[in-house]
Amino acid sequence: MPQQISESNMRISHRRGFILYIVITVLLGLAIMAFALNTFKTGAVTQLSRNVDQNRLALLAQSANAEVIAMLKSHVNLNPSSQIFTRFRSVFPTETNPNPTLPFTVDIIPVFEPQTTVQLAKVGYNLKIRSSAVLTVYRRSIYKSMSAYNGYIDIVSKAWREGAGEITMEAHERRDVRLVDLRHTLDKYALFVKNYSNDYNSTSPTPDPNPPDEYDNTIRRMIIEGVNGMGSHDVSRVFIGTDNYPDCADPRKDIFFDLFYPEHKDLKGFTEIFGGNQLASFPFAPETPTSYPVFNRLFYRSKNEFTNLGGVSVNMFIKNKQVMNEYERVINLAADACKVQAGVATEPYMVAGALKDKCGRSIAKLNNPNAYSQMMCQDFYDNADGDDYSACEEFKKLLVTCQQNWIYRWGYTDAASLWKIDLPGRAPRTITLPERYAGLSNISMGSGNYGPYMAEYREQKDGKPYNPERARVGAMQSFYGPDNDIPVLIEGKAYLRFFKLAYLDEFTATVPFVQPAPVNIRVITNTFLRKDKRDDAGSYLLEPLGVNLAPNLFGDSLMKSRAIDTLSANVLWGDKIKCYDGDGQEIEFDPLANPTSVIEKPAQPSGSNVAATRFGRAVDFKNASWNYISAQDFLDERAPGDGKLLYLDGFMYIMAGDLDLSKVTHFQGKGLIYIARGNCKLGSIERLNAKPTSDSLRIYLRQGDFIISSPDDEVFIEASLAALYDDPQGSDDPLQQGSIILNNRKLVKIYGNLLVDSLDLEVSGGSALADGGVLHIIHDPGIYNAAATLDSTELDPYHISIGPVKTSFAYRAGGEES
Amino acid sequence: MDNARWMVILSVVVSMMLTLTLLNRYARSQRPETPVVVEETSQAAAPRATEVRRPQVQRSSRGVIPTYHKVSFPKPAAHTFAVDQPKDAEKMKESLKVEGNIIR
Repeated sequence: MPQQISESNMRISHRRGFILYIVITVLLGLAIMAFALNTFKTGAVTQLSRNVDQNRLALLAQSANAEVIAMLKSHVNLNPSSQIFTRFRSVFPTETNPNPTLPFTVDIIPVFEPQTTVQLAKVGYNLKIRSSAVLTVYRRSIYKSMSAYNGYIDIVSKAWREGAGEITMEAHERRDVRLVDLRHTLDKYALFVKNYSNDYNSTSPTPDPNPPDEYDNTIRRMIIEGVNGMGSHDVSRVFIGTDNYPDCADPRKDIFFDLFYPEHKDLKGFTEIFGGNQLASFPFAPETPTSYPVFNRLFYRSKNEFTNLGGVSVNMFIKNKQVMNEYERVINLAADACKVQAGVATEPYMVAGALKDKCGRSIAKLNNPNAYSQMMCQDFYDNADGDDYSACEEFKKLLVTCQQNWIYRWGYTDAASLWKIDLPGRAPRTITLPERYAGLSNISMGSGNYGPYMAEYREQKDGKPYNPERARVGAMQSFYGPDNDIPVLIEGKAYLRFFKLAYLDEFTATVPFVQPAPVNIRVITNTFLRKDKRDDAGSYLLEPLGVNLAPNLFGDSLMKSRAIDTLSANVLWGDKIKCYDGDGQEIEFDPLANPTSVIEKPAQPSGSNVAATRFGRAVDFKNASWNYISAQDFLDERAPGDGKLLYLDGFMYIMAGDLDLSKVTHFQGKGLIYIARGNCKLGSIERLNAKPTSDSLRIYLRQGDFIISSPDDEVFIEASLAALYDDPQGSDDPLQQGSIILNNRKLVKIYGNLLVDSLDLEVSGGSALADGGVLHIIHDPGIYNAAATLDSTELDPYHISIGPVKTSFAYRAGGEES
Repeated sequence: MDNARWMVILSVVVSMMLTLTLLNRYARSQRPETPVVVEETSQAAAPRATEVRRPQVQRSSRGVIPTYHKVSFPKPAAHTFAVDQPKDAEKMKESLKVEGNIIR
């Protein structure tokens, strides 16, 4: 029995072990299945989570890039205190690094957390974003005169979720960048005109009916107002060219600026030239009638005895009318005296050969060799040859008397005192007609209605007019500002001009004839005679004297009345002018040191010899920040909306005009508009932002004109205007010359500068200034040197344009943020 | 002995809960990593780009030439003394035929 129980127990024990084994196995299987299921679910969720994260991170990285771009654009030109502003400008050459080696990179933003994007990101996850921007500069302008660079900026933004650094998303984009320094060598010119203009001596066809001073009536004017350097070496320049000078026989093809006493008397140069600035008149001999008109417009007057002049002899006066007339008068008296003594009737007044015959008849009637009257007649009868009395002994006595008694008087005056410069035709003033003052403007000596000065230069020689341009007298434009207190440096063949009136004064003296007799030699007008006529005329007027008649600075050693036109126009300023030479060295230009020397060519470095004709602004088109096929494209984009506000952005190239900016009233930004061909219409246009501001506008026309097109009579333009034909250069065709068409406006005020091929102020037909109009050019210090500091505002000469489109864009996912 | 063993286990569990609670709390209040900011001012606090320089239309100032009490000029940049030579003009004429002819 116990054995049976023992066997039974053993069977039960074996069965329990098997069940436990089964249960454990099942539990193990269930555990494996649960673990596998859990792992699978976790992977799917993680994958989904990563996808969401990546999308979100990509969006935020892109947002960060956009924020960086926005920040760059807002700071790069407008916020001088930002490091972005400074770092972009580090591209440009400095004194320590004048030629940076290309390509090079500049870290514009090394590491940066774009806060706006971060704020957006924090709504959900706790994300982290880092951005950076690197500028690569790879190209420089091919022209030395243009400081401009091409580059691109790479912006990289990396975003990741805090705590899950293994998931990162990096967005990279690249944009083109154009960097330009807008300064140019022509900026230093307030006015640059290549071609000859006959309007530099202004006149007015409609004079003021009630002038306070009849000489102060030149209302159609151009006024240049240079920059005020305030003691520095900065001074505005004016270039006056002579290209396309009218075809004429005159070897001198220069520009002459007529001095104008009312405006220039207080300038230092005026005193230097004339030794003072008081007006004077010629003194008269006691017997001169009190009714004789007084010419009181002399800046300098002097006298010298004829014997002291040197270079001329009294024998040069044997054909002089005054001397001959007086001698003929004496001989007629002697002949009449013979007749009276013989008791016969006298004969009429005769001259030359007829007088000789008259003397013969008188001698025959009197027949008394001891009579003084017959002796004089005999001398004339024996020695006179027609109207040549030089062999007559008594005539020689008269000449000796003249030599001993003649006083040569001369004085200097201006054109406005001699001619009616405020009336068409420039007729002589009435006061200048009497013989003392008639050397230039006498209308009764076979010179038409102009006087000898005008007539001589209008005369033909070798089939050409000699030089009618010299006859365009007037009053020079105002180059030293409305108050004559701002210096400018005038370049070009520009000479100051004023005039000399000269005569041999009348005298009464007793001539030791065989019967001494008083004679009165009247005033001998020293008329104007062209210098090239010296050999033909054989006149004392053209014989060089042994003395210099000029008081100072210039030379005058001819007896004739004449124009003094050998002094440089700069002499009028009369003081040293601090400036930079063509190499950029600080110098002091002393116009009085070499007063007859002009600065013929525009300033340029040593060794450079570029004619003014070839001056212009070469631009590298690859540096353009914007290119437009047409002016309309430009306007649509740069002057949107009502078209009254123009947005500038660096060097903007327009292939073809005409560009009509007449509706634009303001501009904002800084830029150069370069138009390859076509005109530019302008009305009043000025900066939008209050001055001082770095905003500036430069318009350059390569083949076109500026056309003032405004309903207003007074136009104000704040810009640098350049119309310099590039192809062809130096053309004599007015249609191929850049100019400004003033369109009959009363006042055109340019706050900038004006650079043109040709400039017409008084052209008839309404294309120039209106009657009494003024072209007033004020050289903007922000154009003269765009890096100026005005009051306490430091201007910025650079402009950086960041392209509106991405030239490259990429994402990079993964990685781990270290 | 059995009771003491359970007390030890219970105290270990309580200590762990306390430690984890504290860690969690301080971990949440920890400041994020301070970024290196390029600009001196916080970009979030800075005015918006459009507010930096808002145009001020002053139409009443038309034609007014400002009078500056103090004007100073730096030495002109070196390139402003360079003058284009005739060969430069020729070069530009050539480039005008290429870069100057924009193709829409």
